[in-house]
Amino acid sequence: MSLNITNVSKTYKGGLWKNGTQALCDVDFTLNNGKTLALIGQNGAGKTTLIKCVLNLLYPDKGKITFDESEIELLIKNGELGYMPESMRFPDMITLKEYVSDLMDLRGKKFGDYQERFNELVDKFYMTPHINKVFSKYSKGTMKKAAFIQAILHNPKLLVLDEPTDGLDPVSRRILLNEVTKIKQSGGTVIITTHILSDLQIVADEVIVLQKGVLIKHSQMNEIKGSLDDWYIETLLKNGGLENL
Amino acid sequence: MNKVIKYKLNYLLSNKLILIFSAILFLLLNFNALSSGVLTSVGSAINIEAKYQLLFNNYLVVSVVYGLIMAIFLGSSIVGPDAQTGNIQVILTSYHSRTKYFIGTFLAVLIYSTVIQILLFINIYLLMLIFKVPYLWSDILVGFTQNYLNMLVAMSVTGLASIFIKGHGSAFVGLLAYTYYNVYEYNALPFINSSLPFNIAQYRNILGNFFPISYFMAPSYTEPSTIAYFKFTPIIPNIYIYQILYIALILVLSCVFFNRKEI
Repeated sequence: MSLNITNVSKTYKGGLWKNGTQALCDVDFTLNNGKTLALIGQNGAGKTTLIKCVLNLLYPDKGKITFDESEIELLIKNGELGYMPESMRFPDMITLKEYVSDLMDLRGKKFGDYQERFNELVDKFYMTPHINKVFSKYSKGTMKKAAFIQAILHNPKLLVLDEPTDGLDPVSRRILLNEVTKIKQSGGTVIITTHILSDLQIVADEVIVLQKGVLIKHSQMNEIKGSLDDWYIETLLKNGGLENL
Repeated sequence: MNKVIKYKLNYLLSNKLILIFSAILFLLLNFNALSSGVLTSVGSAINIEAKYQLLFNNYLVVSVVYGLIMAIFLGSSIVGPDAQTGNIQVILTSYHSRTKYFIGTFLAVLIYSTVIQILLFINIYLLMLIFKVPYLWSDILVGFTQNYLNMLVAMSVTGLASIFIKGHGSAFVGLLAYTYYNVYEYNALPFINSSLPFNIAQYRNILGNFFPISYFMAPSYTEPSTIAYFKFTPIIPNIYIYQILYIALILVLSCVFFNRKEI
C-alpha cells in the first residue's frame, strides 16, 4: 500500500524561439501509506512539477505514478485526494461554506456528513468570524487557511500540500501542522513542500531533495542528525548545487 | 455531471458582474425598442403593421446583439476564470472527468442563457401587449430559435478559447469572431470593404461556414428580395442543422483540447 513514482520525467516544451526545459529527470521513489514526505529544493528545482504530475494536472513524458497500484484518477474518482495549491484565489462572491459544500458534492460526498468536522476546523483556525464572508473579503492568511480546510475536510487518503505554511502566523502554522499529523496518524499519506524546514521536522517522516529536476537525496527523517537546514545545505554542497554560496 | 452544473450555476449566480451586465443590457434593449419609434407612434396615425415592424424589428435586432455579447461573455467564463485564480487545480483534483467538467460547465452557462432567452421572450410579449400590437408567433419563434442557435455558436467558440486564455480574455476571441460575422454579413466595417478590390459579401457563403450566424428578418414584413440578399447558405443548405453540427464539432474539439491541457 503505497504511492509509487517510477522513473518520472517531464520537460516543458519550448516555443519557436525558446528551448524546452527539463523539469524532472527520472524521479523514482516509493512512499508508504501513513507516511509524510517532505519535498525540498531551491526555487525551480521541480517540486511543484512533481506534485502536479502526481495530481494528474501535468502529464509526465515518461514514467508512471500509481497509488495502491491504481491510477491516481481512481483516487480522484473516489474523492480521496486532497490538494492545497501554493497560491490560489477562490471565486470572489462565494462563502467558504458554499464553496466547500460544492466541492464535497464534486467529490461525491455529502457535506452534511462533514458539517461537524467543518465547524470544528473553522473554529480551530479562528475562522468563525469569516464564516459568512465572501472570499473577496479574505486576507492572504485567511485564504490560505480556507484552502487547507477544503483539502483536509474529507480525510483524504492522499494529501498534497504545496507551501502550506507560507504567509501563516505562527499559531496557525502550528495548528496546521498538528492537523497534518492527525491525517498521517489516521493512515493518510501526505506530500508537503515548504521552504520553512523547521516545520518539516515536526511532521515529516521522509525527506527528498530535488536539484534541477533530479532526485539527489532520499532520507528518513530520523536518520538526520542536527538541524534539517544544515543537512539540506550540506546535501546541496555535496551535489554541487550551491556555486554562489 | 449534475454536480458540475450545480457548482457552475452557483458561481454564475454569485457573480455580481454577470448579473449587473445582464440587467444593464436588458434595460438598454427595452430603451432601444421603445424609444426608436413605438412611443412616438402611440396615438398617431401610424398603422398597426408599421407599429409591429418597428417594435419587433428593433427589439429583435438588439436582442441578437445582446444575445451574442452575453453568449461571448458567458462562454469566456467556462474555464478561463477558474484557470486564472488557480481554482481549477482544486476542482480537477476533486472531480475525475475533464470531459464531464467541460460539458457540465457549458451546460450551466447554457441554462443561464436559456433563462435569459425566456425572459427576452416574455419581455417582447409584454411590450406587444402594452402597445396593442399583434403577436405573430411564427415570426417570434423563428427569431428566437435563430437567436438561440447564434448564441450557442458564439458560446462554443468562446468556450473553446477559454481553455487557452485565462480570465475572461477569451471574450476577445468571441468579439473578433463577431466582428468577422459583421464583415461578411453586412460589410459593416467600411474601411475593409473600400480597401479590397472586391465586395467581401460575395464570399458570404464560404466565409460564413467558419462562424455561422444566421441573420433574421421577420418574413411577415420584409421584402423577399431583401431576405434573399442577406441569406447565407453554408455547405449544408439547412443553416439550423449546420449550426448544430458546428456546435457539436467545437464541443468535441474543446473536450479533446481540455483533456490534453496541462494545468
